[in-house]
Amino acid sequence: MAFEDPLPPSLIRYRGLFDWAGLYAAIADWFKHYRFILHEEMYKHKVPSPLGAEQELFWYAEEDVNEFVKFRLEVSFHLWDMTEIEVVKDGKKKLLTNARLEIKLGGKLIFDWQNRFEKTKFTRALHTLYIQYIYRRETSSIWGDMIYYRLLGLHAHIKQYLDLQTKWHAYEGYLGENR
Amino acid sequence: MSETRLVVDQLKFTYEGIFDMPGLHQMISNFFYERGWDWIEKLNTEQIFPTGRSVKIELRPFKNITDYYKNIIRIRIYGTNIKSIEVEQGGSRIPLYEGKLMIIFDGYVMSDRYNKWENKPIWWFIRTLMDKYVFKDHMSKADQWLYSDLEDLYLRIKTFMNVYRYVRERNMISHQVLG
Repeated sequence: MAFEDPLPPSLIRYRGLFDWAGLYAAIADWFKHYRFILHEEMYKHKVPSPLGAEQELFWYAEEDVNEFVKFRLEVSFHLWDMTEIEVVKDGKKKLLTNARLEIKLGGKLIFDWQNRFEKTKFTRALHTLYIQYIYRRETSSIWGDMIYYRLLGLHAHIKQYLDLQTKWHAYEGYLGENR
Repeated sequence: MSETRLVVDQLKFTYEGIFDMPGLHQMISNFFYERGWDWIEKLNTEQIFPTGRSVKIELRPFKNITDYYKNIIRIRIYGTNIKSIEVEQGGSRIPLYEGKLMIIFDGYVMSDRYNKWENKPIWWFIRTLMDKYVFKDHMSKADQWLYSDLEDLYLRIKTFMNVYRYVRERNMISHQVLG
């Protein structure tokens, strides 16, 4: 088994009018921009009730950083009481969604994703020694920070798209790259 | 599990009136960024009602001050009936918000953050003994660091919201906790 270091999860909840198709595309684009391979593992659309439809989605995106390190980010969406409303903006008709939305963000940092150290008991012990002692600073300071602040960037990207009150991202320049 | 001590217990700030919600969030996140804290935004909820926006945010910024100690601040922001308004100042119109706001701060000091001293009961016992008697000064330094940063943040928020401030407020939280 590869060694996995989970990231602290975060949650965004929103209730109101938003562009669901646009948000879907914006998040997918974000993953593409950072060279993640995105997988849509689940897409559920439940029979609409009088209040509206319900949708559940689960995405995960992976990026092989090198032969030893891999990033995995997970996004799950849950929408309730979805109704579509036509809005006229700048003289053009646009279909927006009125719903309750919950987005859970999480992920993990995976070491030895090719299971090269899994062959014998000795190599497994070497793996533990490498991760927990020799490579410890790199695991938390370099790769750990990189994946965490990238996830925080996605968090800010979603907040900005939904135009939340708290969309400011002070840590934007932390990794020295554009969001 | 590492040992987490509650140092500042539910310090509250309540406000009703005109304020700048995005500016407040920006000020808080900039404060932690400038001081080298890591940022965790655990929960971010925003609901749009006919009476105004309702906001619920939980932040958990933390700072690994040594290999052994970690300071954590938990900030809960609850905003209700937040409506956008425009205020005229010097001939120009400034977009602001009006509503109710409550901010609750908790401060924690986590010791043995890598869980190194918990594998055997004797280690755990030695750790407690060392923490309490031998490294008492280190513990109190971690506490002081937390008080100091939390006090600065609290005062900055009060200044930002332009509320009444007591002149000799600098050591207010330490006095409140230490007596």
